Amino acid sequence: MQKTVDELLQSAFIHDIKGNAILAFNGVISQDAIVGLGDVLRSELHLTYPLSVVNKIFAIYIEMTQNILHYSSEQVDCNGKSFGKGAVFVFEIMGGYELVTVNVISEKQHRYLEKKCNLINSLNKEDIKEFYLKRRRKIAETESKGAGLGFIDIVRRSGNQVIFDFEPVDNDKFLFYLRSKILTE
Amino acid sequence: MENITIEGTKYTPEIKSDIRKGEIKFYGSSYPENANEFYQPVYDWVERYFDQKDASLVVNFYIYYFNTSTSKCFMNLLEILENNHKKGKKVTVNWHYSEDDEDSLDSGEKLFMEMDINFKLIPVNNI
Repeated sequence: MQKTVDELLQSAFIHDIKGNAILAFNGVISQDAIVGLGDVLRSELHLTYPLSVVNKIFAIYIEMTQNILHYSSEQVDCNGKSFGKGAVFVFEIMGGYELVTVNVISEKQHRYLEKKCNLINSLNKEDIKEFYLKRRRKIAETESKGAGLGFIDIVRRSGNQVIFDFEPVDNDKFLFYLRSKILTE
Repeated sequence: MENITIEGTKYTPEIKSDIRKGEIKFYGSSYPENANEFYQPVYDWVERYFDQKDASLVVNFYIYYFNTSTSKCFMNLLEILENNHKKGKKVTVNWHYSEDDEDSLDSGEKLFMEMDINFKLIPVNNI
């Protein structure tokens, strides 16, 4: 990761979120890290919200962080396993929460993700549901890790479009910023 | 034929069968790092189970959260069950969902859409 947590918080994409960070992490997003930070997030949310809201936010958190685990182009090998590096933030905002992830991707992933995010954001609520089911049927027949459903699920569960941006860094690499807003009221 | 026994973790469900009763049970959350790898032994067990003559199976799900890659695996599993149902085997699936969480009913319901399979959606007070 080229930037520190502080630098990321100052980046234009994150800076304009008006809220308090209740979770901020930048580093190796291993499964253990996802589970541990997920526990912290759940217990924080449980203080204020019913199970249905906690589960919704948790589900979106899992999809966003597992995207980094599998698809960040900065990978770290550990005990024969490979983990992605990246950052995750959860902000408490007016009326809900905003989740942000940042990770490095390749030029090829950049083209793929831009197309994918634009497509998903162009769908209305009903289309999203149908698209999700169709896509899952199709993916069930392939050997893919499950990519492609995560973004649809984020939009479907949050009921909001994803906000995304790409920032060029050196050697045909980009920082991929992703934001999902969940209203709890 | 041996029972399948997989102990649960925070992010993978406990999976246990009871061949005598003709039952397999899934209990917990499911968001493994690699869902395909995790569920492969389950597919294998179910296929072997149905190789037995006159095998019938009740599948009980008590899953309060699963990620998208798990949902793909559940679809695969339901397809195996559907195929065996079509071959004349007796298959029943009970999807237990949390009464306090609409999404858990919704995601259960969606799994069974278009599936030719006997299933029940059962509300539970506290999963």
